[in-house]
Amino acid sequence: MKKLMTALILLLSLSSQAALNFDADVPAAIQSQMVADLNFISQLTGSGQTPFHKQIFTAVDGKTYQTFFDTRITSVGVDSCGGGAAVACVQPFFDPNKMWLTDNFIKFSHPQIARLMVVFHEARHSESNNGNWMHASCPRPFLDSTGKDMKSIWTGAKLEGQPACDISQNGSYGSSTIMLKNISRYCTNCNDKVKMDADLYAMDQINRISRPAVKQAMLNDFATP
Amino acid sequence: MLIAGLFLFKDYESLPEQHGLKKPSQMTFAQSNQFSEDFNAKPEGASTAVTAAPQALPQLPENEKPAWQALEEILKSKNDNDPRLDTALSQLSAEFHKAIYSKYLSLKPEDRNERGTLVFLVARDLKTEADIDFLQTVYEESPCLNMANCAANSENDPQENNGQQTSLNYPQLAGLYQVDAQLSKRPELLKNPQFRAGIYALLKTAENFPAPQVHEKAKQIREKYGL
Repeated sequence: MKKLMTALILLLSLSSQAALNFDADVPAAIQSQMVADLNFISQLTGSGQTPFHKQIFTAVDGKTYQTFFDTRITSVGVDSCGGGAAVACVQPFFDPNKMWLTDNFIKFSHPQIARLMVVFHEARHSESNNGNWMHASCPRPFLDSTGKDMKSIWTGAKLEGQPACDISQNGSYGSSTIMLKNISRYCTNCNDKVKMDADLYAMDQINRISRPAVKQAMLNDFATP
Repeated sequence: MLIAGLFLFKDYESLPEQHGLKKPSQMTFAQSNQFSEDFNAKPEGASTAVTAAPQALPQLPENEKPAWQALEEILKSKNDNDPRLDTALSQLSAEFHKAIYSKYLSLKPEDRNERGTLVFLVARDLKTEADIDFLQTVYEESPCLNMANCAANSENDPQENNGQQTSLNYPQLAGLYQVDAQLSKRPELLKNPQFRAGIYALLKTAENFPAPQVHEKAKQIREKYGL
């Protein structure tokens, strides 16, 4: 009986990433990076959270993030996700609970928190009961805080009219922004680099929130005492 | 950087399994899957600049060699939340900083996170004119245009732009973030006229960096501290 209990405890204490099914053709390097990234986030501890974070995730806490991910994504495959610079995608019609990673997941040198931002952004798209949090079209015109068009400096492609914005703080851009900002502020076992990275990427992503009132509400949320 | 789901609105009766399809990319009419299986292959056209032979251990005092070893391990591991970044790799000597400058130059431009980590360490520990000179060079670089090959133009799909520009500009942004943090924590730094002039010159250089994300941040910092 004692051996059985020990075996059960051992089984339960294994990282839940052991329950994440990888397709057979997912290269070992991608698997190990994904497991390492999820392992990091699952061990995170926090000292508080903002109201929006509480609504979406509850606490800034590794187990919370682990549960959030595990209840949305059950398997991982490898695919080009349409090619280009894509790192990951979810195809809700194909399988809402499967995440597809590209080789860019390990080929591109992104900070770890940026990879996790993408993973949690995609996980949010698996929520079929919430319409998969489809993106909204960015408004026309879509201007930054200085009144200039939001666009790629390299190609000149404007974001206006593209399905690359969120109108709610609860969508994929909004929720991952809130998650990162809270990690930056409340994580108690993150080093200075991770907290800086979380802040940098959060403040980049908030620019995808196209409704000014929602963006301001998020900024107010981040400033909660 | 990512596609937030390719929402292909086909007949719901046309289930993927019925067509023998196994991957989402098989459902598109776009380019065929260009997924590469060789993860060790250098991306086509990737920069070959500064791909120096493995660097010899820098000339450091004996007591700093373990810290250097830790840095090498952290850069290789891709696991950023190593506590040694805050312990062994803080309050570093001028010789250590000098070794970091060399290490930075030995990395490929496409090593954005690794380069940014080194910039972060120097800027967080901002001490000397040499530090400012090093940071100056970071803002004098050509911007990285593409995660696979900094010299190539990006086929930038706005839908895939999830954080990519931040990663492309990461060394520059990490530097500015830490300069701002240090000036905030140690306002006495700006009381030294030489240091003040150096920071001013650094920020003006950053304001000339082509990426708006960088030059606007630099301007914001300069104005914040009345420089």
